[in-house]
Amino acid sequence: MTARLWLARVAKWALFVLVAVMLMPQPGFRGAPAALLSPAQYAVDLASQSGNVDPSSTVFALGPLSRMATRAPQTGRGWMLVFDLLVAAAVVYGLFLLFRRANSVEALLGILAGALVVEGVRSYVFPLAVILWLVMLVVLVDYGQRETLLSLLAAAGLSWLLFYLQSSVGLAALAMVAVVLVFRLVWPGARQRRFTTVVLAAWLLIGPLLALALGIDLPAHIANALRLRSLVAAPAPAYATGVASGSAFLLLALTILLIFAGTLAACWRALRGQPEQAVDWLACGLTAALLLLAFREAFVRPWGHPWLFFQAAAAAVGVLALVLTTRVAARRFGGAFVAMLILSFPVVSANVQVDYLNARVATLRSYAAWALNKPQPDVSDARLEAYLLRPRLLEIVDKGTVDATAELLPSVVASDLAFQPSASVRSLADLPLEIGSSDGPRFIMLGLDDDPAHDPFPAGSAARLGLLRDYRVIWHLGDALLLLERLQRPLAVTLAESQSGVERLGHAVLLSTPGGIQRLQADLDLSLAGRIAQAVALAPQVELVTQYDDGGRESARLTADQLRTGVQLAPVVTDLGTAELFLSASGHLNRPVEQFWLETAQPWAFRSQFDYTIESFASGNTISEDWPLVTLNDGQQLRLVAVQYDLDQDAVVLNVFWEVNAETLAPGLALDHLAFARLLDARGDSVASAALELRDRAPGLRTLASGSRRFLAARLLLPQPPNGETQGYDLEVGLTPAGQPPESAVWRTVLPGFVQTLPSE
Amino acid sequence: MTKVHALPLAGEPPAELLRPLFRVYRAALGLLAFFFLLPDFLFVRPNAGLDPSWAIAINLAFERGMRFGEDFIFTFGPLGILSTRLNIGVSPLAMMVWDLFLMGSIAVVLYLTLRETRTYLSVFLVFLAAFLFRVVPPHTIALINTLFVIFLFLLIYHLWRGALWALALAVLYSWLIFFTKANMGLPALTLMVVYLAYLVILPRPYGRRPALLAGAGFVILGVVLAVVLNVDMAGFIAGSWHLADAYNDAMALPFALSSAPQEMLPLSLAIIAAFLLLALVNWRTILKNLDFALAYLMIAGYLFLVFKHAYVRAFGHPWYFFQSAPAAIGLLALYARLVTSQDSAETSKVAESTDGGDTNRRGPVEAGNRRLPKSYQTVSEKIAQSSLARWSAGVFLLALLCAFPAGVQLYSTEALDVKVEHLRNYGRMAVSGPPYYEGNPNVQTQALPQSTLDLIGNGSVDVMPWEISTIYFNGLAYDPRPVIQSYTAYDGWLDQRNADKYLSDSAPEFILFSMGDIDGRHPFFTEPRTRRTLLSHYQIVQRTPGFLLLQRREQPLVVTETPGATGTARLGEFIDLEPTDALQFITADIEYSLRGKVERFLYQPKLLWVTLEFEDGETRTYRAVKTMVNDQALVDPFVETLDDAQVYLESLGRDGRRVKRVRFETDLPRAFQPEFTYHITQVVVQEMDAR
Repeated sequence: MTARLWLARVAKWALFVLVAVMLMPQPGFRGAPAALLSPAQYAVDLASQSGNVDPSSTVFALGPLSRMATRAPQTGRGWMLVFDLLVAAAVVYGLFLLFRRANSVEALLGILAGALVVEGVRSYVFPLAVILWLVMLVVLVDYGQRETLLSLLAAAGLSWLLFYLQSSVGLAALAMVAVVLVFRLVWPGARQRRFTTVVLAAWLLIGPLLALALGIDLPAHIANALRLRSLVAAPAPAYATGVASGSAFLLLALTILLIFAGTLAACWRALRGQPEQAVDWLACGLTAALLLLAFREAFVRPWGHPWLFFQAAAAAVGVLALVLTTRVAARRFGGAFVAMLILSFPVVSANVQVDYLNARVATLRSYAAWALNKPQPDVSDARLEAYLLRPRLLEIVDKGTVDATAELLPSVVASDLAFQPSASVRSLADLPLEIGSSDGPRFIMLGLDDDPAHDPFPAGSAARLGLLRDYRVIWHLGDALLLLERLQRPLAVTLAESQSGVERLGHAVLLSTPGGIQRLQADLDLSLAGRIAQAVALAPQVELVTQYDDGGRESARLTADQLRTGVQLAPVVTDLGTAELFLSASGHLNRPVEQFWLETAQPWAFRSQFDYTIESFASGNTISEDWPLVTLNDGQQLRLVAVQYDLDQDAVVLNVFWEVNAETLAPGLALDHLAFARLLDARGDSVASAALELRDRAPGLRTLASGSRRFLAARLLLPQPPNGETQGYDLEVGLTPAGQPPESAVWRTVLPGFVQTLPSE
Repeated sequence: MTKVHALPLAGEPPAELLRPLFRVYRAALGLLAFFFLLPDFLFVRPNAGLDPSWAIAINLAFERGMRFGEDFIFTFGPLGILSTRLNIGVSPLAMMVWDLFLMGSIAVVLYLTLRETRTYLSVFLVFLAAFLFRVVPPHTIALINTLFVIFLFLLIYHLWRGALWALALAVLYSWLIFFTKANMGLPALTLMVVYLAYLVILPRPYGRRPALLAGAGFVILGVVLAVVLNVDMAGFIAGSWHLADAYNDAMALPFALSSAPQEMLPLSLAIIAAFLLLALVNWRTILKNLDFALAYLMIAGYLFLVFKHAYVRAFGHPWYFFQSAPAAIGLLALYARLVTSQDSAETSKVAESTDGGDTNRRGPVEAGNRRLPKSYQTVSEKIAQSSLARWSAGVFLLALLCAFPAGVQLYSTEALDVKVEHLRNYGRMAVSGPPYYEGNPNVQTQALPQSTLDLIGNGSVDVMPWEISTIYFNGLAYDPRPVIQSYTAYDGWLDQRNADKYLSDSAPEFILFSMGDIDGRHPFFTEPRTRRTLLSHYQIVQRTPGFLLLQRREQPLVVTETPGATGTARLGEFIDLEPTDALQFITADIEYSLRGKVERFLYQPKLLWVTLEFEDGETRTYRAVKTMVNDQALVDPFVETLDDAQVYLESLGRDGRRVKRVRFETDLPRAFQPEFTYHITQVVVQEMDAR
């Protein structure tokens, strides 16, 4: 062997080492454990670390093993290292197979460029799953071609690993392994059918055994994966956000798919004829499946996901070009790989920085320090502090079980609360109601996401009614959250009226009884074009436009599936204030909705006419007895139903809502009482107060009526203390007889930010 | 197991069955590329501001028949109107004829390039390279790059095919480029001359006559165009040279301060490094193929120019590099493939001698009229040639890879919709005429007070420092100093042209004067000679909140220059100024070190700063331009605001905030020679009788 050839070999394997290091999974080889994970990941981590939580209640795409990759709290370092080693070994083995096949400079440079794109997506679990998916493609094809035992073992192990890491991808991985094993069984050229049969049986056994070893409820996990409908059935329309946010990348992705399809068509003749080429067809099929699934993973919900497609696409086709046995096909897919590489590069081009290598070395050092148990700079505390709940809130929650919407989950961790997930609150899909069950969490921390698919209000009307029936608002923390507490005696929420009809897109439907709680179910069918669009992940969107009686409008983006399942039409919840009104006063205090219509920017995707049913709900004439009730001297009873506040420049503006008994209330309102509010300092001394007479036409007092129910809305202005920003104050709200000083309060609030309920005694 | 070569430009043609499909695919992508390269607008709406103002000035100069190079000195020449696309002095018909010519050229380039493609991938890559031209509008601000790449294509095509029409068109394009924008035109002319000389020294099979004819045509065309376009060639070349050279010093802006994505510079450098590596690895082969060497040098020169354009002033400019660099490199890759296939075909032809070989491969056989060195016949040479083609293709791929992120936002359905809308607008404007005069908001925002208009009447007007749009939107008689905007008077030569204008009989009657400069420069360092003439030849006739209206004096004042202190100073060291009522100009002979010169030539120079210390002890630091302080700069008194300027003009420079001492410094002392000499010139302006 000449010196030049030796040099070439050394260079090739040096490149192998470089690429292997680049592809080491994140964040394991990328630095210290990430302390502040994404809220969704917290949900998984929390669910899997709580021994008393049934995995079936954790409905999410990520599996229990993902906590190894994300360095979830309370996960042992040893286990994480074992996980990292397994992942690293898989990556190295996959790369070894590729490098062994790469016999030209172009191929080696192609691997390097492909690796740059793959590793360029900086995140943690999802990209890791894609990397493992690609490795699995390599080992599966290798097994399909050469019946290598090691590749088979690697593929079998990886498929289950993926399944427990990210169930949506994992299901596809399992299916791919099954296809290859079946192919090996039925293909005439197979040499080791008996062996393959044994392996197939063993592979089927590995999953349950792993589940037993890891303490995973396998049926529940499978059920969860299927319920998500992410990659195994129709695209989850609830996830869909339309193409607007990802339009810059959509055309790129479609071009890549088109290139793949075109190349496959161009290779049709080349791949036809010889039985040996069945293996090439198998490889093409597996790659096509991976591309399509990655496309759907990326573009069902283009918000932040398209990167995953570009991470997978070019690399998968590059792998295909290397493993195909037909020369012409390999060349053509090599060309396709080049084009895809160019089209994928913008996704990661921002990583091309002068300090790229320094950053790489730093992350490796950091990982080594972590692995060797050296003290790590605590990157978490400062960022976690922002998620710590206020002491008063902690006092109230104490040891009670808590669930939270996704963006509030870090607060659950940071405050070390007793997490009890309830699928309906967090789930991105529209799942059956479970929170009303007797073992539902005592508290729910409810936030509203910008994305309707994330919160239980615009869609998931059943969940909303469940919240109304079983919970009450006890805190309102600014724009951050509502704290809900489970009612001892649930409210009765009953169907009162139903209205049906047929209407066209863009045409308004007048509600027979405006206002109140209205649920809309509409069978808006997709046209053929719409079905095709949805099948390839681009779920067509409709806007539900609601119009109030004063002409104001709101709109919410929905999918046909969501409409078919049913959405809440009224009251419209746009922020925590309106959510609080809905939950406090059963929607009677929200702005009454008078009419609605459906409109779409994609009229081609829908049939223009649809059937609809509108159901009106009543939550009973009495509010739950859990709410604070005041009985006045004349026997008249008032129940506090909501307190809203706002901070003006130099005053606290309060809107206090009381429900009065409509039957006993005299026509001319004169209750001979004052509604009062006052601010107390830490010693309990009053530093500011305001009061309002509860009589007809008193300035700041409004009477509201909703059906047979009556409410009083008192607007109080409290001067803000000069040092209000630096010192916490209690805000008390109550009623007192006219001419007497305020005594017992029925509500207490700490400013700025939240409202605390104290039962009246 | 298969050996994979990603050799897109030398790939195998599609199978016979798929050839019709391939042709359809090629035609479709070609048409799509052509569609994207169609002009977006027939005319662009005139606007207010620094850049729109010089665009307006070019058109006004053209409209009023000013002599470029004498009355008007700017990087753009008379054909700059094709780049500004303003409907000032240009009829819709003329603009449409130009578009027809340019789009015809583009269509020819696309057709001839795509005709040589053999694979689906290569067609796609050609499409991408063409598509990237939209990164910067190819018919307006980046027109010069579009023209230059077409020019390069024509030269390379002639080099390969020997097509005389390509040579003739290249001659025309070299002058088009020159009269459009001289800083790119000078290299274009140089390249044309070198190419013609190359053809004369190393004649083609058809002899020297075509080259000599082209040379003669080149000269005649230049003279004719200079006459027709009213260009003073010597002045245009000299002015353009000064502008281009001093642009480095005056307009440099560090990349870190720009808003461009930070990966752009590394990506650009990666392209250049790969391009250089191509030559380093294949230098033997390149030296043996002088045609290829020439093509390589042409592309290298263009890359250098466009890199400098992109990164000397990094603010908003890096996109220019990604716009056309891939296409230019693609030309080389195409040429390398053609040379390789041609050589291998001719080698086979020699080997097959009498049996004719493959006559279906049109390119090589038709190109067989070119003499090849015998050394190409060896197998090792064939391998080397193949390596050259592979390397060229690889560099082209890398260029596309690195450039595509700059254009990815255009690769969307929205961009397609926008393009369609643009074309509709073009059609509407072509039919109904340009709509931008009525309802242009700038007519209101730039409106001058009626009292000012009354004062000016029909008098000629210039504007300082740059807002020429005010003159246009108020319908005034524009009579500019040659270097039309103050910040572009980068050095003493350019400043002197302006001063000469104001001192001459043809000086404008009025000047709309306001304060302002760019890049944090010292507010009164630019145009020192010209601004000195304001004292002697102009007087304030009106003051508004935004400007001073200056009118030419009946009787100019007398200017007396007295040599002041001289000495040697170091960067970072204060130079004391003499307390005086006179104006004090400093001439500082600050020079770059060798390292500084190299950096300036290849990338951008390091910045120079000036710190002023006033009598009350306050200090201020501004950017100083080396070429300006090499000439002279007014350091005392200090003029910053319009009020200061009013005092300066009314007191003839005697009053104003006095500067006690001055210091020059830099962020990187190694880029400059540490020591420099300086001298102060004191100037007094006074009435004739006072003298």
